[in-house]
Amino acid sequence: MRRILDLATPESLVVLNEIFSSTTTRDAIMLCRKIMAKVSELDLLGVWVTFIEELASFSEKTVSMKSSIASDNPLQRTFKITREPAGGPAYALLLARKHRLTYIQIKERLSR
Amino acid sequence: MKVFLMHREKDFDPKQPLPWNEGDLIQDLGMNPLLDAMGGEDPFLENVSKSALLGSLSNDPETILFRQETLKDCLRNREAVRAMYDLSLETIEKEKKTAWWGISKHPSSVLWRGSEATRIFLDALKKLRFLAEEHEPDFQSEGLRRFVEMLKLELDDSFFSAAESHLENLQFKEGLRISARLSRANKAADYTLQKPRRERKDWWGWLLGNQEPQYTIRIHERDESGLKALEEIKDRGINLVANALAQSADHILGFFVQLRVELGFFLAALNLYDRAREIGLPLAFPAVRPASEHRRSFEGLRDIGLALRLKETVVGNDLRVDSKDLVFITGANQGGKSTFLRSIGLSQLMMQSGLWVPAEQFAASTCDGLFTHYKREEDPTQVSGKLDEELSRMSSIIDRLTPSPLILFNESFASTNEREESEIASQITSALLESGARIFYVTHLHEFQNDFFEKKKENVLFLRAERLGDGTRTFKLIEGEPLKTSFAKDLYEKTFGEN
Repeated sequence: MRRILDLATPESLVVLNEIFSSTTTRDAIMLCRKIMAKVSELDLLGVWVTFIEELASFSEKTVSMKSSIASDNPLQRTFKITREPAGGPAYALLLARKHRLTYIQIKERLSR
Repeated sequence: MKVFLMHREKDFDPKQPLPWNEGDLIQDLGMNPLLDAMGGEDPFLENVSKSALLGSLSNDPETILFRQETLKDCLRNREAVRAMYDLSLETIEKEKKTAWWGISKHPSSVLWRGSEATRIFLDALKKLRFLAEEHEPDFQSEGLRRFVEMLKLELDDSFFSAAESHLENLQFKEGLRISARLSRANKAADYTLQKPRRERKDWWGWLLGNQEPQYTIRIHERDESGLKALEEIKDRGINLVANALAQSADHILGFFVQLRVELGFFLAALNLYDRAREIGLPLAFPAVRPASEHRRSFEGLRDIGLALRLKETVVGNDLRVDSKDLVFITGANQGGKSTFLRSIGLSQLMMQSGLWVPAEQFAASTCDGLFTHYKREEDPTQVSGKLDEELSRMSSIIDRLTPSPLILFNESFASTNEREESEIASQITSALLESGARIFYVTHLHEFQNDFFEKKKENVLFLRAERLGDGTRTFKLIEGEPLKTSFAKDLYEKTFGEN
């Protein structure tokens, strides 16, 4: 990250994909804010894929986009990225249920 | 004749099916440096080691102790073990060369090859018995003592003289005696080879003319079909004995192949011992406890993969988690959490295969399944998302879960929104814990740990990668409640040079 920021100019395009995901959310937010401030200061164009919703409203330069899901099935992705505010339904838990991995489902699977 | 050096009452099968998650285990536990060290550039030894390590989860404490005893003996008597290994290897190689003569399925070439192989084997068995007798007083383990006893009992002098006289007879220097009976239309049937006549005791009677009538058929040397017919009769006669000899040769070959495999495992273990000694790494024989006891305590446990790779003794960890089933590991990034997790998995496999573990002291219960669930780098070819992939891997583990498993999680389900992920991790972990699993979980998910921390369960322990006041990491894990930060700030400041 440091190397990228050292080399980046206002003419650069920076693409970030879920960085700092291996630390606690609190640490990740702290790190992302610091990086965001630096990027913002450089005034370059950047795309950042992240689950940290706070970043989507970091400053007036930030645009929030969201990968959308089908209106009738929250697990069905449409693969369309649209301009929308961050946030949404508990996708992860729905996914866990699909894989039969909730507490009750696992207990049932293991008792067989 | 049975080798039985790795199991008390069965052969070790180097081709046994390995666990379905073999690839994950090798990758997640960083097993390759260990396999390299045991193989010592011999792919055969490396393969045997791999099979012994990954196939060790079905071993009970009794088998493990039996193997530990044999290994101790091998360490005390390495020359003898090496000599027996070399002998078995050399014998297998020699036998292979007779294959050039045995390509044809023709009974006489089968017989020739069988005799040739048997001669090689008899010679090797003699040498083996000699080696065994020579070292008999030095052997103390049940495995090697039984092995020597068996060789002495089954390979006594009368065995060799009988075997040699059989081989001599099979050369048919005096010609073949074949009997047959007349079947329909006076055709000869049931050609059977008869024992050669030792002596002509009745030569006197023969001289005097009161012998049984004898009929001689001479075949003219240019009578090709006649010679061919005679050859066929001869083949039918020796067919049975040729096959019997080939079978017995295969049986002895099987013994040497098995001996090479089992001694190979111990030689590979000695390779590891030497490498560890070069580095100065401590090795201890673990005290093995049954799976039902849920015990694990050690002093100075290392990640052997890391130690072998860095050629250093590396930092060891102490732990006493008897009757703890869930251990959370958290704390500083690059503080030794993953290394610790690998050391838990590797030491379990090493213990269960009868090896030393890299520690000053080590005691643990066995497990009957070892599972790893690690965060994977996103695969660009993969259509499904990261969490989807992690959940799908988790689901395959549930499908194959054994009654007393050990499960190692490394940053699982940490890829998205912390609140949701904590909830998923919590549900999965609770269900596994209640089913009897023992779990080590490296995680940054604070809410997940807090959930268990607040329940104050007796069987849960929290470990933290130590961080000194000045931010230095000691790579040691200490007990303590989960913190909200994993000190990313230190790393950030170090990297960007600002406060």
